[in-house]
Amino acid sequence: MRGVDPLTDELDDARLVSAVCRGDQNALADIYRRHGDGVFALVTRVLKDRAMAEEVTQEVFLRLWNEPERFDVQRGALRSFLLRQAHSRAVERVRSEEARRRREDRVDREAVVVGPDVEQQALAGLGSDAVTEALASLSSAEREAIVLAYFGGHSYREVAARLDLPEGTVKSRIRLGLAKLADRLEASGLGSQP
Amino acid sequence: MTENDHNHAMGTDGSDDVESLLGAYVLDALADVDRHRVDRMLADDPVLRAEADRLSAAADQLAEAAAASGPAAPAGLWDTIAAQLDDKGADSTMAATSSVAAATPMTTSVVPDEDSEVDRVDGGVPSPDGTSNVVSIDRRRSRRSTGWLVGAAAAAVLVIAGAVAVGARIGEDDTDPMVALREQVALVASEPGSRTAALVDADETMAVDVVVDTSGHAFVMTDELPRLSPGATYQLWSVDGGTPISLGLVSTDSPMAIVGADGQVQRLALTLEPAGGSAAPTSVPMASGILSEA
Repeated sequence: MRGVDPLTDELDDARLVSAVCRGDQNALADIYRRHGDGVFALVTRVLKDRAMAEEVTQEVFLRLWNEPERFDVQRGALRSFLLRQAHSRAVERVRSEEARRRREDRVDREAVVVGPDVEQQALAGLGSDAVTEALASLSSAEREAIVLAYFGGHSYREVAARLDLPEGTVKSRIRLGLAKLADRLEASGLGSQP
Repeated sequence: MTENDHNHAMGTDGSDDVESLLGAYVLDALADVDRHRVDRMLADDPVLRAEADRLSAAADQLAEAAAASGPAAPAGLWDTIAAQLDDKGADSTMAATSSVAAATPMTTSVVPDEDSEVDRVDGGVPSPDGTSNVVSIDRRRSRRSTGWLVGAAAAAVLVIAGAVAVGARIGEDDTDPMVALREQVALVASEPGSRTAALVDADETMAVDVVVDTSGHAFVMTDELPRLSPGATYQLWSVDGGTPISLGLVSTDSPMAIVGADGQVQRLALTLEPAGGSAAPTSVPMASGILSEA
């Protein structure tokens, strides 16, 4: 499991990635042991479908295996990199599933019940008090836009369509909400990487 | 911001437009086209980059909060991953297994030889025992470049591409032929069912635009690709499954290449190969992307 000291963890992760570059499958296994659950949890929260979440999780680690040079240790921790990759791949999956459904004429636009329930589901059990508090400090409009975008995997245009709002409004709610989150999290010590 | 910068931003209100997209950008809430535009602006603007980094850190905290919450990955998921790892080292007990069920058997047989060495190790370091690292992949389909075209839009694109290649002018108003070509390709892209992708490299400094129409044509714009010597070519692959499938060769001799891609193809990768192409990629992709509807 991960060590107590985050700096040690990061150094170990960087060494493991170097080993992956050299074709060491055990190193990838170690990375998976450290971060596989985290990737799976994030992807599940976005996709809500375990089978798809499993596939996307596989994809993240296969990509790391095939293109380890995409991770730049100067730009931050491996975990952040993997979670960003995980989120991007999950969002791609959401979009391609929606495109498939549209092609098959099953559903033009999902009947989304937008309100406290969807938001509550997306934010339920988030493993960080600081983040939960920071999200609570946003206006409900900002929080809703961010949750639909980030945990729903929707583009801001799609969010605007679902909420029946102008795109500019959604863009700024997302941006202002995120800026507030950044402020709150920095204040509580979870700020940008040095 | 100068006039040129405003034009480069391609928005009606220049850099303001990109700044307003930063939040969505950081949350993966942009369509590919918009994301690519922001990528380019960030590369040139350190102030914008700093703002994006700050917002990114907040998004990272959202990610970490979700990651810390569970559920745990199912037991056995690692074994599934391990079975798909192709062999980068000398260990031959973990040979590649294809997770792609090919619909038709391949028409060209794969003959391992010195030149088909697949070496994914960074920097081209040979495998430890010095032997060539041949990956045997059982099932692969290779597609010939499309030699025929149907559809008015595709035909128009071909005509202009030909004209651009010979440096001809299009129309009476001396429109830049490259602009005219891109406009025609954009028309194809706007047809319902057409999909587009911007294949980007690792640094995201280069983008290769690809448009796939509903008749199985993939139009690949080559103007951003470095020119190649006669001994090399680019090759486009679909990488949706465990095994890359060649869609065709992409030459920089003309401003646009046309290869085949059906509706199932989603994930694309472009590699550098010896002239004539390869049965399997011989290097890590120099650019990749995902097709999506506009």
